[in-house]
This record gives sequence, structure tokens and C-alpha cells, in this order.
Amino acid sequence: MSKAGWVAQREFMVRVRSRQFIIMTLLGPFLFSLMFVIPALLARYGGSDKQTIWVHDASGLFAGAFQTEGEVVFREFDRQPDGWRDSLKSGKDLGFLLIDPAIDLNKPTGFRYYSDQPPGVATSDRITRAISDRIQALKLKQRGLDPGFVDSLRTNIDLQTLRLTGEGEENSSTGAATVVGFMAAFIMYLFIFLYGSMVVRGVVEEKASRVMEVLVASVRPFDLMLGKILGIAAVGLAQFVVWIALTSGLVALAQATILGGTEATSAQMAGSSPDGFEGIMLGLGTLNLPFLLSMFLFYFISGYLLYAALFAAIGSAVDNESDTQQLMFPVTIPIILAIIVAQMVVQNPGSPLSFWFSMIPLTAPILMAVRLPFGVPAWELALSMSLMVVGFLATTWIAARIYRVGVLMYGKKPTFKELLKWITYKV
Amino acid sequence: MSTAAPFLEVRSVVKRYHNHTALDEVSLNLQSGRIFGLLGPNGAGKTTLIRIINQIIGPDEGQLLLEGRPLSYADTHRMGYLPEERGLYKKMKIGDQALYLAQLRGLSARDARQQVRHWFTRLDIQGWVDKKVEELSKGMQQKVQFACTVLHRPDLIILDEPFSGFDPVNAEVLKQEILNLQRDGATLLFSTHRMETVEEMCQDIALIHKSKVVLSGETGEIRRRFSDRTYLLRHEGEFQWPVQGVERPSIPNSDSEKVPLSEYHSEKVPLSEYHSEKVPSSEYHSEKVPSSEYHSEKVPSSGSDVVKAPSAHSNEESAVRETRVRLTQGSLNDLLAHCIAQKIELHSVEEIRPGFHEIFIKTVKESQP
Repeated sequence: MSKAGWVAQREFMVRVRSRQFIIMTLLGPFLFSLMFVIPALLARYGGSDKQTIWVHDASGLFAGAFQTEGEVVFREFDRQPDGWRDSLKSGKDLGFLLIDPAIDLNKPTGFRYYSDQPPGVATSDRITRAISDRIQALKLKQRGLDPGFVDSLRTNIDLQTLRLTGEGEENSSTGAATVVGFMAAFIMYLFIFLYGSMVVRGVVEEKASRVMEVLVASVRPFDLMLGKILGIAAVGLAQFVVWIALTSGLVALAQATILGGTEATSAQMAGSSPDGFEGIMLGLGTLNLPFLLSMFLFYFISGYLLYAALFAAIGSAVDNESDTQQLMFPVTIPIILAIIVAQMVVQNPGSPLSFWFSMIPLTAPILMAVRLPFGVPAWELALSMSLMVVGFLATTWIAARIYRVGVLMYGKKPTFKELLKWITYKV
Repeated sequence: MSTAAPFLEVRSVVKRYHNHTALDEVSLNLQSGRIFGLLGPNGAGKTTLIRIINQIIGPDEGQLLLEGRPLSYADTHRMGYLPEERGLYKKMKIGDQALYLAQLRGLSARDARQQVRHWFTRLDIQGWVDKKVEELSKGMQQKVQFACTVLHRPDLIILDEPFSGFDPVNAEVLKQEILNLQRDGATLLFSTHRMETVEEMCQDIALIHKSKVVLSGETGEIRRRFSDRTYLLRHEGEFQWPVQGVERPSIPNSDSEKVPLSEYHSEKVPLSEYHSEKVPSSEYHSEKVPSSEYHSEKVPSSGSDVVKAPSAHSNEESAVRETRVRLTQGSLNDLLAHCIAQKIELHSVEEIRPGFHEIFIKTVKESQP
């Protein structure tokens, strides 16, 4: 086995055997699956959103405007009951909507809502929509138009999005692409940060404990760095595989038992609209998943290697962990920038901004993850991937230059500028 | 120094950093199977040289030859290195660490396991194999570190301040192990500030000062070279001053010189022990009985009647006196003749050669710009 192999093996074994790793690996899926299960459980058994709203319509214009729907019950009453303010103080989930006797349809004011708690967005939306719909209907009536006719003018169009490729047209799903892209980008971000900082800590540990001097007498610094990066990558991949397997297992188990069906969970996963989620699930079918997964894996690994090398260089430059923060900041800027830009890229996956940021190797892993499900021209993908390879070779080279100087330096914490100077040093 | 081809040759090595030269044309020869002492004040360049030999860093100029061939990276498997700043992984079992380090030095897993068992048993740390470094005492950690240095049976062992951090008992264990390694054929390089280590263990030394080798050679030869013809006379009767060509030597290091006397040197040994010793030749240094800053060396008695049978030294019998003299001109015979003329009855004459403390300080001072 090569020396980098021995180093990687040690990194892997020591970390995988550590109590911290075992606890995190086993506990993680429970926490993740709770993220799915708890909202679903709440939706099923919570039921605390029930609300009764008493409507006193003194104007008489809004009879039947408020329709009881779902959790919110509307009750109309003719006169203001005495002591309704007191009942508000004692009652829970109560609201009173008071409408003034004279309502000017052109300048409608005089709607007041009282409750013990400020109403949620959904409740206030429903009330305002009911009022404005009724006012609109009244206005139409004044002009002699039939509101039913106006309603019939409203048409819902379902836009079928198709992407024209060399092989013909393909169905595409914007919703599915967005969800898949964001998930992949987020996982990439998490992976780089989680295991990148593990690399920093590992290098600092070797320097702080002074075992470094013995190590570099037996292993070339480059092999030492490479071994550490690869070993930790293996730890990360192992942890992710366990996490994904256990999480999906636990969620499936929860669905089969306590949730008693797939719908509740599925609805929660897609936000609140089952339709949207179904759309996304259908949309997934339109994506080329094996291709996407292999691309994700490529960006996942190359992105990690690129950043891990830089993190190793930072670790080598300092004597203790607390000094790493300041040096890590410039390296983390592109990652954070990529996450910010990703939100714009989703709006317009083909824009020049998307293009350039998915070419720069520092931001490409995250941005390509977002763009890939929308479809990326082959030449762009090829260019980005080549740049990615060049990029991680370049950062690894630079990092190795800094590393071999850094591991032997003790004392003053270097500035970022000094680190760059180390690249030119002869050792 | 022996004339055989050196085991390790450092040839005109130069190492420059940005604003200073760490090593300037440094050349050394390490003979096979011997212990070489690398001396020098702090910052002289010792660590740089050690790192170059270990191939942690490379020289800017010059060459290193191992058994006549240029040093290659594969040769690191033949080297063991104990750095001055000791350190192991804090949270790793010491047995696993030793195994790991041995494998990095080229041992197979099976070989490594066997060697770990051998050395851990030998150094009496076998019971701690599953403990982590942070659970061990400092002395125990030192032993583990030493074991890790020699596990892979290196034939060039580089020890930076090997005895620091060891209590006297364990220091003795370590010393015996080092001597065993030497006996088994290993060549050793010590970097040390402890002159008694040099005097006890090293056969050759080099002194580096301000990036240059300012003194090197065999320890005995260097001592002879530094002899300033100072003698210790034990005699009855009064030594009459002044004498032509003889002066009273100043006693070095007694005048609050910066270098403190170590425990070894501060001990006074009764004279009787000196006298009872049979001294084969003038080459002999009475290293077993270091009595003072100076090391005594018996001089062959040039007149049979000069040195009498030794008598026990005691306070009541103060007839035997000691006088230190330094010859500025003439020979030892002139001095003896003078003693006879003065009717001084000599019991013994010993040459006093400087110890490495003094040689060190003197050399460093003289090579001051």
C-alpha cells in the first residue's frame, strides 16, 4: 500500500471507531426522520387550528359571504351580544368580525376583526378575500353584469413545459428540477463544510500534538495531505450512505406504522399542497436520474477535493484550532456566494450569471447541482467538468505548497498574504 | 577519526532562508556503528541539519551520501528520528500508533506487530498497549516515543535531546538501549546540550555555531587538542612560586561563568579513588570519576621515584597537597626537575584536560565575529 493509503486508512479507522462518529451516524437518521414525521403527525393529530369566527354584519351586504371551510367556522349573528369582549378574553380560538352598517363600495372601510391572538396569515387572507369577492360581485351587479358570467371568464391553464433536445422533445418539470437541484446543492454545501472542517481539525491536531515532525520524516507532506483528504472523504461517504439508508428506512417504517399511509407524509414533504407534491413526483419521472446522480457524484467528489485541499493548507498554517477561523473565512466566501447565487439561478437557469458561476470551479459544484435537473447543454457541462478537474488539481497543488511549509512552522499565526507567499518557498 | 568510508556523509550543505543562512557549507562524516554528537548553541542550525538528513527539507546546495550513494527517499525506511518536540496522537491507542508509524517506515503489518510487541515488552510498557497517550505519564509517553523511533530497526538513528523528560531510572534504561542498538550495528546521531551525554556516549562530535561547523572530530582527540598543559600535582611540601615557565591556571567556570555546573561535575571524589586506579596510557581519560570541571588524565611517570604509592587523603593528614600548574613554556620534565630541585615529594601528576562544557564555551566564544 502506498503511504497515502496508510494515512487514509488511519484517518478512516480512527474516525469511524470514535464514539462521536458512531453516535452522530446513528442519531442523525432519527433526527432527519423526525423532521419528516413530526410535521406529518402534527397535521394528522394536531387539529389545534380550529377556530370559530363570529360575524356581525350590520350592513347586511355580506350575508353568506363567509363560508365555513376546513378549520375555520364562520357563524353569523344579528346583533352585537353583550359582553362579547369578555367572552373573547376567556374563550380560546375565538374571533369577532364586525362590519359597520354603512359600507361605501368604492371606498370600503369599516371592517374590524377582534381576537385574543393576532390572526394568522391564512385566516386574515380568507376574511379579506371573502369581503373583496363580495364587494366585486356587488359592483358587477350594480353595473348589471352577472357574476357567474365573470367567473366563467376566468380560465386555468396548465402549462406543459417541454425542453427541445437533440433527440426530440422531452417533458420537463420545473418543480421537480427545483427541488432536486436545491437538495443536491444543499447536500454538497453540507458535505464540503462538515468534512472540510474535519480536515482542518485533523491537520491542526497533528501540528498541535507535534506528531507532525515524526510523520513528515516518514511520509512526504503531499502524501500525508492526500491521505488525510481521501480518508476523510471515505468517512463522509460512509456516513452519508448510512444516513440515507437509515433515514429512508425509518421514514418508511413510520409511514407504515404510526402514520398509516403515505399521503400525510408526502403532503408535508412538498410543503402543504398535495397537488404540488404529486406534480414533483411525476416530474421526477421526467428527469434522467442515473445521469443526474453520476453528475452529482462527480461534482460532489471534485468539489470536496478542491475545498478539502484548501482547508488542509489552512490547517497546516496554524498551531491551534482557534486560529483557523480567520483564515477559513476567505475560503468559505465562494461557497456562501454560490448558495446565494443558486436562488437566482433557479429563476433563470440559462442566464449568463448561471453560466459563469457554473464554470468557476469554486462555485460550480453547488451551481451545477442546481442547474443539472433543468438540463445543461453538453458542451457547457463538459467545459465545467474539465475546469473542475483543472481547478482541484490547481488548488491541490497550491495547498500542497503551503502545506509543506506550514507543517514545519510554529509560532506566529501567518496572514493570508504570507500563506500565498509560501507557495513560492523552496523547502 | 577513522579513515573508513563514512556511513553518512554530509557534504558542503548549504541551506538559506529568506534573510539568513541556516547552514553554511556544513560537512560531517558519521562513521558506521558510532555515536555522533551534534552540538551547538540554540539557533545554530542543528534542527535544520537534522531535518535535512531526515529529508523533511532539502538542502539548497551540497549533497548527502549514505554509504557512498546519494541519499534517496527510500532511505527514510532506514532512519529513526526522535524529534526534540515529542508528540503522538493524543486520542489513539499507543499500540495502534506504534503500528501505524512502523508501517509508514516500511514495515509489513505482521513485522510491525511483532516489533511493537518486542519493544513494548522490552521497555516494560506492554500492559499499556490499549491506552491512549493522554492517559499515560510523561515518562511513559517518552518510552512509547522512543519505541516508535526504533521499531523499524533503523540503522541510522537520530535522537534530538534523547534524555530530556526522562527520570534518572528511565534515562539509564534508555542509555542501555541506545548502547545496545549501537552494539547491534546502528549508527547514532545525537543532538544535545548535555555535555555529560557527549562525554559518556559520543565517539565523535561536531559543533555548529552560526550555521558553520566550528569544531569536529573524535572526542578524545578534541580533548587532547584543547589541552592547555594544565596539570594537577599531589605532593608533600610547599610548592614555591614563581617558577620559570609555569603559572597558576585560572579555574574556568568557577568565576560565575554562565554555564552552570551539572550534578555530575559538582561532586568531589576522594583522592584515594584516583590513586587506586591503574592507568594504562596517557590516552586514558578518567571519565569514570569526573571530579571537577576538568578531567584528569594521568601522565606516565617519567621518573620512577617521583610518584609514590598513593596514600589516603584525609584532613588530619594534610601533608599531601594539591597544586594546579599550567606550563607556559618548557616540557613536563622541566617541571619535574624543578620539583626535585625544590625537594617537593610528588605523589602523582595528572594532566587536566577540559571537559566539553569548557570546550563548547571556548569554541563558541572564539568564533564570535
